[in-house]
Amino acid sequence: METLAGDRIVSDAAASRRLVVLIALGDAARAERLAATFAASDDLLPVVAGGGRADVAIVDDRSGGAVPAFMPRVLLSGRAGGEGPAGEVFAVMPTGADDLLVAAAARLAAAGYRVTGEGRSGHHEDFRAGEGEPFEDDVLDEHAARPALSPREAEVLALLAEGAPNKVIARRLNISVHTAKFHVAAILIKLGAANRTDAIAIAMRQGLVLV
Amino acid sequence: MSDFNLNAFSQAVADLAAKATPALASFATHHHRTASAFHWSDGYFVTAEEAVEAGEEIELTLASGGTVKAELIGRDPSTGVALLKPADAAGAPVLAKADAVRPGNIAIAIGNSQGSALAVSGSVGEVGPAWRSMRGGTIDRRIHLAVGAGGRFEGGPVLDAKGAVIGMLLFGPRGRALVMPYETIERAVATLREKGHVARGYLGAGLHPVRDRDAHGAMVMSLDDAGPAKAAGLSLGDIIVAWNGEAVHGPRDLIRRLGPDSAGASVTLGVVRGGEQRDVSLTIGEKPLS
Repeated sequence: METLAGDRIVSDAAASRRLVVLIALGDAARAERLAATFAASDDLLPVVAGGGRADVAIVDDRSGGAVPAFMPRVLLSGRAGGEGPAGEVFAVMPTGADDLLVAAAARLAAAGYRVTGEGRSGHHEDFRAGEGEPFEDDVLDEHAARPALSPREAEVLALLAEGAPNKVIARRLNISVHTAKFHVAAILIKLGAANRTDAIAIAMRQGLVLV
Repeated sequence: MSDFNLNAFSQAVADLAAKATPALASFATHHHRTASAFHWSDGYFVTAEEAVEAGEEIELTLASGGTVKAELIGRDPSTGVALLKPADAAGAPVLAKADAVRPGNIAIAIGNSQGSALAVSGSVGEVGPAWRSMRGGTIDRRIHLAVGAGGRFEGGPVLDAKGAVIGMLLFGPRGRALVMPYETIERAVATLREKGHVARGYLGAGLHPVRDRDAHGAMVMSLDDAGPAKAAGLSLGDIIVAWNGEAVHGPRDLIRRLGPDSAGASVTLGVVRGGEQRDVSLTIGEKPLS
């Protein structure tokens, strides 16, 4: 059932109308790049300022009160742990998050999900060695909240761990490539991973992927 | 004063960079950035594994400015090496292998961004012994750089004062520039050309870090019915605390030991069950590392 629902959200949004995303960032260059990425997608319509209603807003630490309180928002925060305004549905992501991840978070926030990362550095850690005891790192892992993946996301993660590209994940799970990408992006956000390789490493350390 | 000629030095560095440039290529990576790649041998290019998206077609921009489609032959997250095969890379030179380097030796990082040549010089900051990466790769030497190379240099070669390759530039934690040594890349390339992937050791267990008084270990949270851990009699709740007599501090430590060379090895694990430690012998399985 999970699967059907997930697939429907994506296809309906694309079929009926585009999701209107208000980009209200203090960083104008970033806003421009995000708008370009969104405009290139099938289902997102970026608006940069003013009037009209939007389905979801992208804000940063400097956006202030530019966005109505009731509007779901994705906060790009430079602050560790990213504590955002309480109340409305929103997602918190690091400032440097990939544009496609921000797009995925916008879809999730508009659909009513609340998404928060683990407040990790987002840095690739595979080549850490010799500094800090491994034990200290394991304590960090121990205290990290284990992210709750949906059953479908767990299936996608297992395929990711086998090195499957989006096309193969789509074929194996009988979903569209678009939907596979959507699930992968959601997994990266939930794990606080910088990329696929990082996601697999984090998932292995948290017991989400068999070692 | 000595007869050192600063201009001659400057020209020599620029000449070394220019000489290597035809071996370089560039491609688009995440965040609208570019990364570098360089010709290894036989028309194969190497680059930084983390810069390459899985399953996406890669378009390399060669030093000439021309573009060419490239196939991803395979990736090795344990050494950070990805291997690319462009449809046509005629004329790309093969760079020589550098002799051993010492701290303080000049290092020149070379890159390419959309056809434009990049070079920055500095020095080798540290040369240490072999180490093991988080994903269990054996890295022949720990080479850190004191070179101001940014993200566009990632995946590019680092040259010595003769213009020979010390290794490939990668970024470690906190953005520190490090060099994947030539020999390590050479092994990864050989494996990827042969098999298209690198193996990892497989236990078939989901693990979680635990501490039991002073002991630290990895608790078994789930088991693959067909995996080596299950076959050896491990149960949910068992805590793995040792690997061939050496303490295992947790999942990170265990994953580090389950690198490519662990596949097929016979290992004795120290396992705590009900407060008592016992030894469990098993043969490590094999999975593609991704």
